[in-house]
Amino acid sequence: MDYLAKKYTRPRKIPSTACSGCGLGINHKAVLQAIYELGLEVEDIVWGTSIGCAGRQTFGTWKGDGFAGTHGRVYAIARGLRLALPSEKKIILTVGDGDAFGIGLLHLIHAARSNADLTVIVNDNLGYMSTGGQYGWTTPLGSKTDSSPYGMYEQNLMSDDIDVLSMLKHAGATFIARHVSMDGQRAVESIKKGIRNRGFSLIHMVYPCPTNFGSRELGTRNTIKLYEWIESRAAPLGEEDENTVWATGVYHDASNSRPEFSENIHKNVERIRRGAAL
Amino acid sequence: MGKKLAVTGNQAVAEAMRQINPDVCAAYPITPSTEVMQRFASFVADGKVDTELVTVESEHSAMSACIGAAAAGGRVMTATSSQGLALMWEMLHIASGMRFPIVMPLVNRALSAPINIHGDHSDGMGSRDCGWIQLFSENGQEAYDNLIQAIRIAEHDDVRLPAMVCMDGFIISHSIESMEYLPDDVVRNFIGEFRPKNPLLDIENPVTYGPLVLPDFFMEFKRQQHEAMLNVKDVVLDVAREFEKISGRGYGLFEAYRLDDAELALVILNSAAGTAKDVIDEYREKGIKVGLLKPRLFRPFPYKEVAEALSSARVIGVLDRADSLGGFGPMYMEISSAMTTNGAKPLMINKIYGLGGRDFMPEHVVQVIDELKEIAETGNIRLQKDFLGVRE
Ligand code: SF4
Repeated sequence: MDYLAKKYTRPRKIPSTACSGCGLGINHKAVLQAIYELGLEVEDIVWGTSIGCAGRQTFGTWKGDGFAGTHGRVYAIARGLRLALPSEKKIILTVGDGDAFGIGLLHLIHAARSNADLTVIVNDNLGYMSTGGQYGWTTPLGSKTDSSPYGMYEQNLMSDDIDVLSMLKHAGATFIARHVSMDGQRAVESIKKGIRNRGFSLIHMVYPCPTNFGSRELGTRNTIKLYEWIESRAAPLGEEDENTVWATGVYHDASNSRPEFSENIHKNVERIRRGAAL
Repeated sequence: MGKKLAVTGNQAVAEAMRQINPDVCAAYPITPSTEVMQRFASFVADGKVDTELVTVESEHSAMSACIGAAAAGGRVMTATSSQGLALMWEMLHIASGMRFPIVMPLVNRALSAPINIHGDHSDGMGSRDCGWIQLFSENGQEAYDNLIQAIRIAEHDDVRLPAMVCMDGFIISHSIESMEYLPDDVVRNFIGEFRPKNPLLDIENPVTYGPLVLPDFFMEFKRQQHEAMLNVKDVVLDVAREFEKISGRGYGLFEAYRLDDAELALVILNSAAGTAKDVIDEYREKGIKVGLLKPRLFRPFPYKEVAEALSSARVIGVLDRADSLGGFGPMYMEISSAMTTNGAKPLMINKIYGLGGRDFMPEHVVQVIDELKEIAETGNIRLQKDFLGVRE
């Protein structure tokens, strides 16, 4: 077994139940690598998961404390947890695109607004793949899915110059990055920065789903074809061309620049209490 | 006559929706009901229906969109399961309170936590008090038939209430069975044109939906909903009679299986009732008078008729695929309420089974019938409520 998997995960959950060729494991591994390189231990982190492939395949995997949230609510749960946990405990959430950018977007925006110290890894399989492959909020325009047999034409959070990441930036997130599974160490570095930021961090990581996305859009479950398809549409920020769907790298780094949600509350509650005592 | 085919429950329900051809559908995926809306989306994309399909960002929004479209005056449908229904809960009350005849297949699945994607009735039972008509279906054929009938029931002038049609997740939704579809024109004639009532699009006659109603009138609203619910029974029977003429398949408020002279009776919903029928046949061959009541209409519950159907039973075993934790199973509570209406005092036990999709096997039915027999002989009940097939 992989040394990181051995160190941080429950042996019976590895290998995961993801389909063969699924890219989620690569993203999951990048998160573990970042944790390892930061010298963090199992007891330093509480891990939360959402619903869908991203939630299901990372759920109950972390050796330490963890929780499974309901669809889209994991950010609200995590904010409650943030208030109760000591500040040195890290909270990492591995969630899907439907969870973060669809059903849970309101909670996500409020987590960003309040700059809650959470690191959210949005594992994006480009739609609702767990339920058979319906298009979603980040499905590239024109992609064939189960619910868009003639190509996805709806405006979503990655079309017409709308980018969910800029929404989150303006909502108050203090660290935002975008990657694809093939980014390797570049993705690991971004995740490390996200974890180090004492505030709201989100790393959007696109990964290949051969079973449902690949089979509809490319007409094949061939993993290599799908990996190439994604890679050819990704380019580091500043090196984009007309084919680029995912410009990768750090979008916004205002780490440690705004008061953190729980610290802010604790500080003000303390101030009011002191005032009341006077 | 209709076409005989081998299809899954979800396929059958999607086909019924194609034939119904609603004006507006809202869709949000959730296992195991996703396939219903996904197949329906293909019908929309292929121009096989005239429906406007809106894909939304949550089930709460799906039901909200349905309510908006129904208020505008459309025939409206959506489908969901489990957490999806739980998230809709707020809007379920709005739909029934505003008297919109929205029809929704509910593919029954367990509620979290712990998360589980398999079939039980905790979602449907959890929305028992939301003011929706609830029809339960043993198999894909019944789900198909019930969905078509639900349109007529919900839209009936004496009713005008939303209806959900339940079938078991995976066990029925994903299993292939042979069944019969009616021809498209027969279904269309049967359901007829949709006649909106007080639609917002009738701008000559402005109306307000959902205003603030305080203690002075709130109870009258609820009382009216209850009265409408009381009308449902007769409408269900009328619609069933008409449906039999076009399909040859008869429906009632419930199915009574070998119940006429039964001294021992089982009450079971949905797919597990099918399993029980086979076992009942074996016991009948041995001369043991056992029968089954399989409720179809759960809300409103036909107390009087159920009590009459169970009147010969000395011992009744009620099986629930959902639990009211700390209380009895929801079906047990209904049956015991029913049995007080005719003064009969049968001995009754409640078994909780199949939660989170746990298999319900013929041997479980054997176990319950044997226990009913023993109770009939001794008059002793060991445990009023117990669990079937659970680890201790
Ligand atoms: S459906 Fe797609 S995203 Fe989900 S586990 Fe399979 S390959 Fe991965």
